[in-house]
Amino acid sequence: MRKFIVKRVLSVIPVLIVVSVVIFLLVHLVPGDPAAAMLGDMASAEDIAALRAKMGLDRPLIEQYFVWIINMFKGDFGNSVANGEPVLSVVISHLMPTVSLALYALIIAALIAIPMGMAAAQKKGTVIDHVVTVCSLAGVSLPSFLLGLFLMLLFSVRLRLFPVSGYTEMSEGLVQHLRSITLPAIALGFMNAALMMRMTRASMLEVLNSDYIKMARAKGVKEKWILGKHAFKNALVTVITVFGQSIVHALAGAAVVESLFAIPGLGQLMVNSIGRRDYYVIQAIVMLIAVFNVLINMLIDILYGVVDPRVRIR
Amino acid sequence: MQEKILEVDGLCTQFRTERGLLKAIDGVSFDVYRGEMLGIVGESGCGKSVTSQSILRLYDEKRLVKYSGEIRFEGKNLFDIPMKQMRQIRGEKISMVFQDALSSLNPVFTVGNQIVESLRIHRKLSKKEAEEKAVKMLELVGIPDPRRRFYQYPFELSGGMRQRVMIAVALACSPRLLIADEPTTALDVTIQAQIMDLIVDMNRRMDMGVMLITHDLAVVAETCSRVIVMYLGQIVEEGSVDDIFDRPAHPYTKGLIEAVPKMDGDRSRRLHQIDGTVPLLSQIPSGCRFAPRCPYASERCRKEMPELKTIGATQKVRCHCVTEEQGKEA
Repeated sequence: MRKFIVKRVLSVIPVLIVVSVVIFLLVHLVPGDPAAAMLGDMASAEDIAALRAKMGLDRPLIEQYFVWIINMFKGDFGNSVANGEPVLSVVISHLMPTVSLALYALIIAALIAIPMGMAAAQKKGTVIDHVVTVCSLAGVSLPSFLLGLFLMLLFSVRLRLFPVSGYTEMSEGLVQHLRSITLPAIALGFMNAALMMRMTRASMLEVLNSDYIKMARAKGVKEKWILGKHAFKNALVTVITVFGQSIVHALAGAAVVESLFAIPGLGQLMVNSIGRRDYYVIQAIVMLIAVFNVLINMLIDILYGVVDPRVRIR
Repeated sequence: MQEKILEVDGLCTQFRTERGLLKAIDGVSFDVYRGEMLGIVGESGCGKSVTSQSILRLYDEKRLVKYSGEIRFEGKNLFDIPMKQMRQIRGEKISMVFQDALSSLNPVFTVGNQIVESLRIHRKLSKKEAEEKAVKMLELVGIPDPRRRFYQYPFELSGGMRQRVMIAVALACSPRLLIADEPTTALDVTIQAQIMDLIVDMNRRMDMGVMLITHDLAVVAETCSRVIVMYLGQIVEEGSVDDIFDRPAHPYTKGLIEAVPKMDGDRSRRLHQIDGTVPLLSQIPSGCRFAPRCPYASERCRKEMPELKTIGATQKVRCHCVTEEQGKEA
């Protein structure tokens, strides 16, 4: 098991190198000059050139890349072009709302989707199964911004249960905080819930038809143990995969939902930074999301090994 | 004869399908005696496995299946008792071994765990006691180094080993009846012999009845005392192994026996085969079910279903052509 984990962790390194190169190139090859953007329309060509030199933008790309990487390891992501603040602190200040929102969305999704998917599989062909199937189809088809608007209209404007938009920090009270992100979390989590539900149902169905479930029944195992232990542990591999994808989706999808509900999260920061060609911020956020993505996938692979002994051997 | 442990009486198993009920088992009756080995043979799709799984009521009764008839075990009709009691019988009094051990053992639990589970459910043993007993069971079924194997997963064992593990799971609670559903079909010939030896050995040691379901007549001839031949959900012939193999009365049984390749046979001749295939359950012929494939079928066979009639001390057969001729043939 230890060998399996070490191998999996080491395999992350080349991926991250490639990712960093791609991010760097993307940002630098896109037209638009941060120095010009910073100084405004009235700046002279000499001023812009001076600033470019100061920022190191006149040096060869390859040199810029290594400077970026080395500084990153020192915890220095550069300063924001927009307001001169260190990128790290800008990103961190926008991190909390997104993490909070994504986590909330995932918890809602998992708590609804996994039991519903299991129930649908066990009671295949019944009303529960049909409800789950229809819900998951709706969930996959409904874009989050549309769902967000519907939720806003119904729960905030009509029923006045939740604020229409805006974000309350956790330091101002947990209840207020959760209230402010409940609707966005539902909007964000619904699609993930739908996917998880479908996958849980499908993999449980497959497992429930297998010989070892028949064998467990022939042994006299209670039905709830068959479902909860024998079947679920086997279906878990699929569920973990979808859950991992959902984490990544939730982070990426947050950009849309954050804009809609005016939540000052990473997604919003990224959209704004792209607008102002804030190189260092964009690089940092994209790198952060990419690293996160890679780490989540690594974690999921390791979890496979924990759940399924056959994976460990390879 | 010894005491009866299981009496199957007029068992009908019908499956609900989109095109209505399909009768997979149609009025099957037989007994299993204590300590005996009973072989059930027939081609694929004859209802051997359905019969065995009906005994344990393994099909989903709410949606999939409708049973009728009686299965009496220890004085109770298994179809009358609630599921909770049925679960207590499964694995404790009646156990089952399936064909493919790789797919029948849960891949994500250790083999030890799967034996322990049975013991914990039925014998209410503590974890420690159950583990000790499980290791003993592994040893009993001939697994070397059982303590190490206990912690291994099914995929880490060889095919024969896995089948031994499955037998250990089935026998953990010393059942009175073991249903072995094609226990050797997925194995190499040499391993097959070992596993059959093990089953025969356990049958003697534990004095339990064994229902051996197989399409391998050679295995039946070597190990069983009685045989039931099934065709399309019905018993077409039954009797002692000696009677059936020496004087098969039903054309289907004859066909099956002739289809076994012989070492001293004429190599230039083609192997014998029974013409045609087992019809679908939705296309069961009226009259004798074997008639469309039977070389001796007459007009009567195609119209009228023969009854299962006694033709000897142990032998019963379902065929119009037998009775009078039987005396001549035997």
